Amino acid sequence: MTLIEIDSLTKRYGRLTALDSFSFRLEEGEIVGLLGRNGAGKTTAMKLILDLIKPTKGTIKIMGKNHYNHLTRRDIGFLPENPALTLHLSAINALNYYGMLIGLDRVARKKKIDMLLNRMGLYDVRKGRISVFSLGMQQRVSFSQAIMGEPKILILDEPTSGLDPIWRREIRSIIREMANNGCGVFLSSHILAEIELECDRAIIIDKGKIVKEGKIESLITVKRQYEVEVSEFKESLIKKIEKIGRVLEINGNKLRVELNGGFSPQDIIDIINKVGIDIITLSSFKLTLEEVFVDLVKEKEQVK
Amino acid sequence: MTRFLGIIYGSVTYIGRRKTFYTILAFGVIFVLLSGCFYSQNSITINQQTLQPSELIKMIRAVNLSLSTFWGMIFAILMGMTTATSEVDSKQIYLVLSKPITRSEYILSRMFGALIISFSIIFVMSFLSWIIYNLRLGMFDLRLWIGVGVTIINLALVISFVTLISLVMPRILAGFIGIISYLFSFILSIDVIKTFALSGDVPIHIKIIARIIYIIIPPFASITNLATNLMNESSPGQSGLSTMIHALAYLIICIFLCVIIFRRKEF
Repeated sequence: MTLIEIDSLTKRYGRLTALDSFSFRLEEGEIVGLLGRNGAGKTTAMKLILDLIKPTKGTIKIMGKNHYNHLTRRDIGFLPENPALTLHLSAINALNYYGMLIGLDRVARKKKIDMLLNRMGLYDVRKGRISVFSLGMQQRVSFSQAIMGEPKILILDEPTSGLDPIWRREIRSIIREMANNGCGVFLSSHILAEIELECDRAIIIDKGKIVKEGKIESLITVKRQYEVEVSEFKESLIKKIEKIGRVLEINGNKLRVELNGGFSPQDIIDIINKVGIDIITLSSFKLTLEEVFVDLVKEKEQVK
Repeated sequence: MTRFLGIIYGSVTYIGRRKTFYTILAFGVIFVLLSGCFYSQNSITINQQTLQPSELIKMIRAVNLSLSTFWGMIFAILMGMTTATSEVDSKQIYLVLSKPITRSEYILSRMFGALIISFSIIFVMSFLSWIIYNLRLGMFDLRLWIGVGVTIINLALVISFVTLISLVMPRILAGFIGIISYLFSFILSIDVIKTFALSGDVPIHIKIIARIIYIIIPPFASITNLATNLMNESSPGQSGLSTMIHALAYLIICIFLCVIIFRRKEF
């Protein structure tokens, strides 16, 4: 089931285009990461989905309904970039307040709050004012309110910001757990390794426009580049490989090869076998998501 | 309903934990306690005229109501300044509006929360003064509460008026306009000025401008006068009813505009 369906969404502030023809779909059980530099349009996209700002052009549908309908937000849990909580309240009272806004009755609220405080390690400080909490603790309260109503869609703006590695891992496992239960997650993060680790799909935006999107695997895999590890290195191997492509890098017994069009990895295997050495591993060459992101942004700047 | 109560709960707890609220309340209580010193006799002489107990009680009621209303109105202006803006400035609005509530529900509940808090100041001050003057004068008079009840309209009026201005102007300016309008409404209610501006021997364009000013400035003073009259007389009379209709119409327009503007706002 499609949870969020965005079509040609554009948001302009005077002459500035914050988001330009942004189209995207979020399916059930999918975790989609949104990457971009500061001011790329990530938060604008999230605000538009939540109807905090109005689009200049385009449509947003939440589970098939127009996003202007406030009842669609019953199925959405949102975590803003900075934990904009009611700082004057204690953790338990703040969650009680947000539970009331979701529309949970007293019994459901109490049960849910106790469970969340325990899971987020906040039970012992539940009566403490949020204003004296550390940023990490505030982030955990904020995350708790986002998942309180058992939403079908989670929109998370920098969900692990301010958290220590232990809590980062815990939050990631909760996000994965929710996705496994059918919740669609749309998140943005500056920690690209985290997106690589957690998301099924990523969208890279720059200056309001989508510059690349796809499954994480396809984004980080460089087309026609392979990494080959052989049992021993021979000079003659390079000459033969250069008939079907280029050797880009040699590192001990490891070679990075880029194939010319019309050749496949099977041709590399055949050549190595003819030279009379063994193949230990042969795999597609992969970049990290961070490298992909930096390359894309640089590429775009050079084009300009 | 739970969501509506949730927003009211948020507004009330926000103010309930602010020092400003308790400072204003404490000063109000001090004023009331000090005013209790004047009820030590059953008659009082003003300008060589001795007021009898029945006139004295009318005066005491009016003074008490004016004191608590004035203090409550000042607080209501402060409340109106922050009703629609405090959560926007602190970005807490993102979390609130990401929940399944409409913007109309939000702004109406916030105004209602502000009304409850402002009324609590008037209630505490009136209750204390009511206890003091009843004890001092050895009587049981309930008519003060009629005036206090009517004052709720004034509070709702000032909160919606200042909230409306704060939605289109900086909130400091909204507070300033609120105070000026409150004071100006009392100047306009002075009979001599009213008669001169509306029906006196002045050019027609002055009369038109005066008429517009009387429509634009919220009828705070008229409602205060109505509350005082109702405490002392049983019937509001023709002018009382027209004041009430004017105030309610003004209130509905302010609330309606607040909702319309807030629904179009971007955060």
